[in-house]
Amino acid sequence: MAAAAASKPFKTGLKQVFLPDHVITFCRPTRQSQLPQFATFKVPLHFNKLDMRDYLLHAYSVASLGVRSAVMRQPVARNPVTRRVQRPPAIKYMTVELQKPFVWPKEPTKEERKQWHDDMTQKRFELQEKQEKQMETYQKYGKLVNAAGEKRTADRTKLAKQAKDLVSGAAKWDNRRELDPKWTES
Amino acid sequence: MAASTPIRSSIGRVLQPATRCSATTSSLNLPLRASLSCPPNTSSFSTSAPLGERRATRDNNRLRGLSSIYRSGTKGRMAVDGFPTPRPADYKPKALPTPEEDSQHGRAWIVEELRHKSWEDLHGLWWVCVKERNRIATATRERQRLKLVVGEDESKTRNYEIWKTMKAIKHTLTERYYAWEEARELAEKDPEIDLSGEGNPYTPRDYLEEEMEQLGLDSEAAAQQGEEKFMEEKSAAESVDPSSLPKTEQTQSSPRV
Repeated sequence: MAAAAASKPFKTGLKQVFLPDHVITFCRPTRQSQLPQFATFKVPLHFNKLDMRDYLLHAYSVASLGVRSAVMRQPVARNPVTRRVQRPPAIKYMTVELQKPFVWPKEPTKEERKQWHDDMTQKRFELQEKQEKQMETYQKYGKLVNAAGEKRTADRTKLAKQAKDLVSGAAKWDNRRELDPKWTES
Repeated sequence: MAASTPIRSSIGRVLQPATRCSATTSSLNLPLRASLSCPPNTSSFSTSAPLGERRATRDNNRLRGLSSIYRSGTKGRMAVDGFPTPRPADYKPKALPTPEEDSQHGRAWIVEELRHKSWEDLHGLWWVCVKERNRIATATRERQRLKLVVGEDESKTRNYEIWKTMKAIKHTLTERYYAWEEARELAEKDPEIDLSGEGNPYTPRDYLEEEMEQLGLDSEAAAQQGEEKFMEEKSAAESVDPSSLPKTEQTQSSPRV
């Protein structure tokens, strides 16, 4: 115990917690600007900075130099069951300054992602997401998203050019088949 | 029909695959013995019974003697035969496991298994569970961020097994606490146990002492008295000669009606 006490970089709390049941989520930084010396955790609302510092030291042997805390208020949402408008409970995040820096492992590449989704499933989820977005827009503004509002794809650009050429007479329409003589205009 | 029973039994013995040939053979199966070519009566080298070998039953009923109620066990084929024994997965924690890796896990610890474990073991297991839940929460958040829909079920199932283990640990500890409380209540009533914390906590007493106290006798005097009484009985028994006892009517042989 003497060695462990000597290795403690700070004075820890005295209250012993034997069977903790809170869940701490390590959050990947969304901002590129966050340095590897910092780590963000989603913690229960009742957690304080000293709890966090001691928890990391005792459970994971990670020494921290400082803790910053932020309570994020959640947007108002409808309860899916009661349909009442409610505000979900706030979420507490704590950013810890680490003694040793930590770098997150790389995200799975497109090839590696096939272990979760194959291409068809990926497309299905994308389409589903698009439809949900359309539905949401319709419910909010009362109008559907038309094709003009969407991003122009390469296919549509090509098709528009072909149509323009056909109208102007630059290209002649042809289906590479000889027409029956009885259909020729007299 | 008097002769039918021995004949039938001997026919049955002949028809059954003869594993051992008795020295005494009936007259009926004697001529058949040569054709069956029964080996001579030999014993195997090992004296221990072959394990798990189902012997042929007398009536060729393969389910004879199988019982789940009595302790004969299931000697016959079981539904799980032919399936390989599951082996624990070579588990290495990962920040973002694939659904396949996530689904490689066993069942939760059950209360019966945990009852035999010490507090140190249970506490260690609890912390393993806590860390694993933290890891799963981190992976779930990462999956949501990357919009990987597949893998949620596997993660949830794994988390549920851990949750069940944690519940079982709490159950075990609660049971243990109740047992301790009850034992303490008993100990408070027990005159042999001293809960004051000074001196010997347990002083076993002779079971005769209590009875003597109730009779209001000193233990030494009671022991002496008991010995005297025993001697008296013994001398009385020795003084009577059993051969001189008169025969009663019941002991005499009487013809049965």
